[in-house]
Amino acid sequence: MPLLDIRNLSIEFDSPHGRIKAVDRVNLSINPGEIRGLVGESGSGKSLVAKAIMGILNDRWYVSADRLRYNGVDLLSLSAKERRKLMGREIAMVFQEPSSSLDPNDTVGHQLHESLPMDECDVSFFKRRKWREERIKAFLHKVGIRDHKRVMKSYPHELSEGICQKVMIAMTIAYKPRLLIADEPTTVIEAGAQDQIFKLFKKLNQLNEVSILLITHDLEHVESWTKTITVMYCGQTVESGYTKQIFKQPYHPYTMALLQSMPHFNAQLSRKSQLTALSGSVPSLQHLPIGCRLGPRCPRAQKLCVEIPKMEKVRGHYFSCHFPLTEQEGKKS
Amino acid sequence: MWFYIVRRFNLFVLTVAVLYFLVFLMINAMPGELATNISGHVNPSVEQHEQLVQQYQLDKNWFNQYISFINQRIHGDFGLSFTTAQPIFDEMLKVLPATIELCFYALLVALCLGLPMGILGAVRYRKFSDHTVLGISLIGYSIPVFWLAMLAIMYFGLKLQWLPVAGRLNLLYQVDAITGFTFIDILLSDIENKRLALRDAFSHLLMPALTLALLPTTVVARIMRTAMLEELNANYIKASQARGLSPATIIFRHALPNAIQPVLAQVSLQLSTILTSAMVIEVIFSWPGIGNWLMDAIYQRDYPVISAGILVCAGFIILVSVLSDIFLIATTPQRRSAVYGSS
Repeated sequence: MPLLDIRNLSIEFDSPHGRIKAVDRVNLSINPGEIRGLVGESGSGKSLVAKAIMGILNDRWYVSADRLRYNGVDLLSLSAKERRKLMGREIAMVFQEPSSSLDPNDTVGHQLHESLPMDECDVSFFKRRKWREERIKAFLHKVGIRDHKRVMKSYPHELSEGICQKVMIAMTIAYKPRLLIADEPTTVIEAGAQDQIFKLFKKLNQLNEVSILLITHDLEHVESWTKTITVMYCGQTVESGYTKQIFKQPYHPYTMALLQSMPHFNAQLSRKSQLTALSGSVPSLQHLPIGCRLGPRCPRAQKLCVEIPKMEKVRGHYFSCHFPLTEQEGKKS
Repeated sequence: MWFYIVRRFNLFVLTVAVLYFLVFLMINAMPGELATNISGHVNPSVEQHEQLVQQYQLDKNWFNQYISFINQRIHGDFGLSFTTAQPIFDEMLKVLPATIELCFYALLVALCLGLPMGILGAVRYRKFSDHTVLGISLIGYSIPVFWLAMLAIMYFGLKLQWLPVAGRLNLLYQVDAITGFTFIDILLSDIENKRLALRDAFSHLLMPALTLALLPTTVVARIMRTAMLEELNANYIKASQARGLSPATIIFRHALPNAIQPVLAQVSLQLSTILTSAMVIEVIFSWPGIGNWLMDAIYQRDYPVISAGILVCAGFIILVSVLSDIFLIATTPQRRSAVYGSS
């Protein structure tokens, strides 16, 4: 049974032009111990999906789904209090801009205090302080922060983004979550610290069996760190399956375009030639095309594409396209 | 941070110097003789006049005059009042505490009512309670203070006869002014039935303080609501929600401390508005404060008192705004390293 099972998740909001589906029937499932990448351009609704799972979208958004289950529990039917209990303990989330995810007015040490599971504390009242400090120290060491004393005393603005992200991760692992949602965890982080964070995720995944949903638009990271991926375009899932398979042979024209946009330096690129990219730009939310949302930009689009294609499955590889790329075409890349 | 405080202090000194200069110009522009206007001695004898010229260096150029003017004033010599021929400084010591008392309680009420209203509005954004808060604050903001004060006198004072309409304390209670603050004076004095006196002082204070508090309350509520809304949409709130913290912890431990700092800084800027409406309120409720005193001085063309009143009120406001700046720096970690007061 998958740990997280999402079927036909739609996220809508009211605009002056009527109700707009920012996320349109997205499917996603994560098995225990899996690292899944969620890939797409910015504005494709990746973060919305993550926030919908956590239930931290504000009232303007309407979330509906045929199924939104975590470990067999329907998340949408939980009360706010039950959901809070589940979050933080079972599901944790790491955000895009770590330094703004920490309270600017509070020391890092105190914020770590707050996210410790106090029901695990079995020492007397007077030893609690010591116990907490020990735990925090252990967690900080675990995420690779050596000078815990300085970090605990600092305010978030005094630390680098990389260290802030490590602190965020330390906070999330305090409760030993089973699912970690990482929403573009390395976009604002220095290059050197990026790999450290990914290694940390990998370690968590292997040692603690944490499933990870890695949301990113960086295909190189996806290729090297994830086992399975789901590709989103404009709020629709276009393709999902094993990372290796998809990178080897994409079925959906969008995935194909995405892979081609990665510059390969070994390939025979003539001097000053243009990199391949899809023509046109991502449609704005007010002017979403009907049917397959890639339609207007798709090189293979035909009349039939005004209807939303059904998800098809070929050897554990899902895609939604009326005219998928055949194996020969896929190999050309 | 120390560097910042020094800078702020410099700013304070400079602003006060400019203020003194303006008042000095004003005194020069007043009709009548300069020596009389600046010192308050009406019809001085020849020796006295000679002494005043010495004291204020009136025979020297304007810069020397300005310097000696500042020198006299910061040593507490504000001259004499035309009408009472008493030292203005002593008179001011009598009336200033009454105004400070009134403003203090009004500000207290404004904070105690305004902050929770603002928080409520932000937390229940675009719900019924939010609209109620906005509605009340709009009404409160639009009502002229003097009109409300008169209505209150008419209804609670004259029709229902619940509250006294004028003064600080009933004349039955013989309380000596030690500090000038009624409640403290009553507690310090040795009169019988202190409890009754306190109650009387409270009933005198109630109407002026509440009418005065109306405007700042609405302003505080609105500023607080906006600041709180901004904080509640911040990333770290989303992150703490995702960590499963309870809404109460999120609002009171994280959002509130962040939102309240700019609000308190804004409130200190409201002090000038409060002081202005306090003067109106004092006249209407015959509160023996600085506003009442200044109004009388204006009617009687009591130039030394007018200039002294301006110096003290404006100086007080400048002082408070500088102090609130320093307070903001001391409580906000990101700004503690700031050198300039810009951000």
